[in-house]
Formats: sequence, structure tokens, C-alpha cells
Amino acid sequence: MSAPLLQVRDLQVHFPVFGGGLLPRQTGAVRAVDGVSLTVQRGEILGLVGESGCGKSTTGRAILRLLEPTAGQVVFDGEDVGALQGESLRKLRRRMQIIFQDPYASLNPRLTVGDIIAEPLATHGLVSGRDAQRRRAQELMHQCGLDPKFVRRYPHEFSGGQRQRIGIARALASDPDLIVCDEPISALDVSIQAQILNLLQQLAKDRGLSYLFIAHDLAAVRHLCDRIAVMYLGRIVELGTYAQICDDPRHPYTRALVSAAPVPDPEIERTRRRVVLQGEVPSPLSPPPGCRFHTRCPVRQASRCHDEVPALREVDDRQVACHWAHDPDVTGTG
Amino acid sequence: MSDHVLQVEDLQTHFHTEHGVVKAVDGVSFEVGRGEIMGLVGESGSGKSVTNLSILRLVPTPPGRFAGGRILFQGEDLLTLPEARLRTYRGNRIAMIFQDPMTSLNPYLRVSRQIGEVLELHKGIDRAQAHRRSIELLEMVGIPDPARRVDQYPHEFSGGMRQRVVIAMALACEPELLLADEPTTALDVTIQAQILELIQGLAKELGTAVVLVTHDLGVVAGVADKVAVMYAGRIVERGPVGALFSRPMHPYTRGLLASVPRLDTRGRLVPVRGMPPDLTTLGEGCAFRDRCPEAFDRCGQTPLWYGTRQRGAACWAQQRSALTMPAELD
Repeated sequence: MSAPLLQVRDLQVHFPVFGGGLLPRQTGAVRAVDGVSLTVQRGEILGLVGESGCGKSTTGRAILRLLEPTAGQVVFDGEDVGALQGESLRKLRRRMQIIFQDPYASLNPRLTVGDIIAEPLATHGLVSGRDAQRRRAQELMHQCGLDPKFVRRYPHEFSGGQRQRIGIARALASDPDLIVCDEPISALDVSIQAQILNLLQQLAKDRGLSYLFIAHDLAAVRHLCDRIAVMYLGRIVELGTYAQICDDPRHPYTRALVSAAPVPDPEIERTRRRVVLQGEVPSPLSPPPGCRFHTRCPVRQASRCHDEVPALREVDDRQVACHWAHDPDVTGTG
Repeated sequence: MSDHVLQVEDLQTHFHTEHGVVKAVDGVSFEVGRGEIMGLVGESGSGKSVTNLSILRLVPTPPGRFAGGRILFQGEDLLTLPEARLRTYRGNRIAMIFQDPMTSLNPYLRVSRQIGEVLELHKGIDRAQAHRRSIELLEMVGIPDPARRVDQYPHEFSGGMRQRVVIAMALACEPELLLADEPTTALDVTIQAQILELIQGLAKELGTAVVLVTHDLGVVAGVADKVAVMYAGRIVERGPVGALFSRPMHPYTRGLLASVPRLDTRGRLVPVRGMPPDLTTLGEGCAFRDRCPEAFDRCGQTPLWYGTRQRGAACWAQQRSALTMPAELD
């Protein structure tokens, strides 16, 4: 296999917490991302799922260096992203783009759609001349399902779904290899979500794009992604193909997540067994010792789970961070 | 007469704006019985939330106006009830839960005070009793360590726990009717499962009638007994949950179901084309016709209801396919 497009090794992002009186001093750290390793191959779509606060968006931003990682390495196409500065970092960013969740907040309301999409063309010196830039912007609009004749309109004149198309066109403008999609459909109406999912799928196929697709909706991730990584409290707990994760999950958290995701089919909904987790996600300020999931885990064991951090290990062709993943007597799988 | 807790008849809730009259709810009828959960499904702007707000007359007038219809609660029309009387129902016989728990919680008050207030107001019990009852209620909705938590402020609770507090408040007076507007939309799936289980338990054990407003078909499939699908201010299809999902009649319902990615299969998504219509410029005819793959000339007229009060759809194509002789089919 050729070298992966993106390789993330032991990524950590900690946010310092300050306390104390007159002279603030650091009293702790929110360990938002705490040792994440993953790879994205060329043309691959990797899903990153988890609940709010699990660190999935922070991971995406740290990969693009929109946030400075505390530790760890991000290698994009053989280059260490963390070591780059100034011009060389900017050059690399042309090849890594992002689509945001909120299509209302991520577009400059004072620029026309044409200017928004043309901005990366000018910034990276890809197309020169206003006319040529506008023409290119219109081509991109067309590819993203927007009518090119609206090139002079402003974001507020568009609906949520159309704005997300503008965000996608802008991300495509610099002809990237990797796009981090940070919850790109969760702010949209149901009938519009499918339009955007189909567009992203088509674009990936046509252009050989790779995505890191961040979402909390497991069904959407399953639909789009080749492989899926599941995060809990700053760490990956399971990573495998979409079928492995959704049809045969091995980590108790993945199992709970899969069983809790509603399926629009009353017969299935009423007959399937649901693992309802007790309690809430602990604070990342002071994550539990040992396995971070042990406070809510339905199959927690008296030994190991409390005091030994489970490593992400190979189990049946996928990676699982559970001491008992190989033991169907404990996990109830197999 | 009937054993319906709630019966909505031809409800019309309009808004008078500078761009014209918006018929946010345009002739909606449904009923919910004791212990029954009705899912009211639709996308943003379909009128599902305004329908729910209308039931407690929480729509600001003006710009809103109840232009017609009746809302019978245990046989009494809430639309003509004197305000003072209705106030004794709100939070007492009829409770409401919103998407964002902080819309219902006062950040300055301890949880005990917020729940206690409801009890003192409607049940006339004293503070000490109300405090004890608040602890019981928190325990009932699954908040750990309720005796300590009851004296905390809302900001000390997580999102899922806050929604439980709101549910505890809603349950304080054992309401006959619970109006829940996207109660789990802001919550994570594992927490959503807990809250839905709680609401279902209530309907079963206390016999509360529930109107569950949501955009999530999966949620409806899991907990609702029957479903009404709204589009542009009208109910376009209704039925028992099993029939509606297995044999959807309206092209919009079919479109919605085909556009939702599913966890159990990986089929192609067929999105509903286009966008929801602008309600200020909505004229005669079926509001869905511009997006409908089955639209024909008849759809320029407002569709009549096809079916019964329990099961049916507002669609000309349904009536045509039912009436057409086999020989006329291709």
C-alpha cells in the first residue's frame, strides 16, 4: 500500500485552565484530545464520531493547525505539518481545507458569493484576474449545484442548504486533497441533508478527494465513510470499516452508540435490544483513571478497567481499546 | 363523548407580517388519547412547533392570530377559555418541554425552587412539602443523588440532566397532556435514548397523552403510537406508526424516508429536490407540487383528504391511483 495521505500519531490537545486569585496560575488542563492516532489514505473517507465534548472537532482543527497541538505528530503527504512555518504552511493549507457546521456563521456576510469562492483562488495565486476568478467561481458553483447566475448575491439571500454548498465550493476552490468536514449536515433540514451528503459523495468520487468526516450522526457516517473511528473523552475507542463498526461493534461504547441511534423503522425500533448507558460523560478536566469509559460501561470488570488504560489493539482486523475486546464472555459479542 | 384528552379541529394560526399573512398552521386536526404518544413530524417552518404552542395559546398575538378552529382539552375549548383559567392549566394539567432546557429554567433559582413553585402554585402545598416532593421527582427522572442536587442551580447540571429537571417540573403536577417540542434534539444519542425512555414510561404509567414534535423520523419510529406529517402548515399524511412507515401514502413522506441515511443499510439516498416553499407567497394548490415527482395538472387545486381520520393523506395522486381503472394504467 502507498503511503497514507494523512498520518496522525499520538495527537494531544490540552487547554490550560487558570484559577487562583490576583495572580492567575494554571490549575489544570482540559485534555480535549489525548493521544489520537489515525491515518487517511488517498481517496478515502474516514468518519470520526462521538458525542459532544469527545474531542472530534478539536482533532480536526489540530490536524489543520487551526489549533496548535500540545504534542504528537501530523504528517500530510510526507511533510510534518507541525514543523512548517509561514509560506510553507500556507502552501500546504491549499491542499487541506475545511467545511464548517454552521453555514450561517462561516460565510462573510459582506462578501458576495463570487468573492467568497474566489478568495482562495487569489490567496493562493491559483487564478489571476478578477474576470477569470469569477468564471472559476461560477464553475465551482455549478459543480456544487448552485445556479452560477447568483454569483453577485450575498450569503443571506440563500437557504441553509445552499449556504453549505457555498462553503463546499469555497473549500474546493483551492483544489485540495483533503477536506475536514466538521458536522457539515447537522444544521440542515432532513430533506436537505441528503442533498449535501450526495454532493459530498459525488465530489469525492469525481475528484479522488479524501475526507475526515466529523459527525455525531452514526447513520450519516455509515452512509458516506469507508472507515470509522469512534471517540470517547479524547481517545479513539474503536476504529474499523463502516460495516465492522455499525454491524458488529466490539467496544462497549460503540455498541451503546449503535444501539441508541434511532432507525426510522418502527418494527426494528420496537424489537431491537437497546444498551441504555447510565449517567453522563465525565469531565475531560479530570477523566476517570484506567479506561475512561469504565464509569458508564455496562460490562465493566472488577480488575483492570479501573486502573489500567486500555491500548488501541488489533482485534479481528479492527482496532479496539478495551481490555476484554477479545473475550466474548465479557462483551457479549461473537 | 370521546375519550380523547386533546382534540384539535381545523386549527388556523396565522401571522400578520409586513410581507403578508403567513398561514403557519392552516387547518390542522388531530386527537390524542390517554397514554397515547402522537409524533408531529416536519421540517423547519412546517408549522409543527406553532401547532404545539397554539394549544397553550403561547403564540404572541399580534402578530399571531387564531383565525379559526377549536382546541378541545377534555372537552373544553382552550381557544375561548378565559386567560386566568388557562393559566391554572399551564404547567398543571398541561405541561410543556422545549428543545433548550434553559428556556424553561431560571438561572437564578435553585432547582428546588423551580419545581417547588409549580407545586405551591397549583397544588397549594407548603414549602417543606414541595421540597420533599421535588426530591422525589428528581429521583423519578433518574437524577443521581437527588437530595443534594435539588439545592443546586441549573448551571451545575449538564445538558441531559437539565432536560431531566425540566421533565421533573413538567411532571410535578401529573399532567394529563404533555407537549414536547424537540425534547431530545440538543442531546447526545445515548442521552436521547434515556430521555425518550422516560417520556414513554410516563405515558404508560401515568396515562399522560403526549404530543411529540420532532424532525427526527427515527425518534418517532421508536416511541410514537401514531404520526402526523406536516408540510407548509398542513397535515399531509397521518396514520398509525407502523402503517405510515411501511406504506407511506404521501410523496413527501416517501421523500423524507428515502432521504434519511439508515444505520442498518447503505442504500442510495434520494433527496427531496428543491426547498420548502415560502409561506408568504403560498397560493392555491398543493404546497408540495413543485418538489413532487408525482405532480400532475390536478395538483394546482388544494388537495382533499383521502382516507379516514385515522389514516390518510392530502394528495391528488393517491386519489387518482385509487380511482384509475387498471386499463388506463401504462
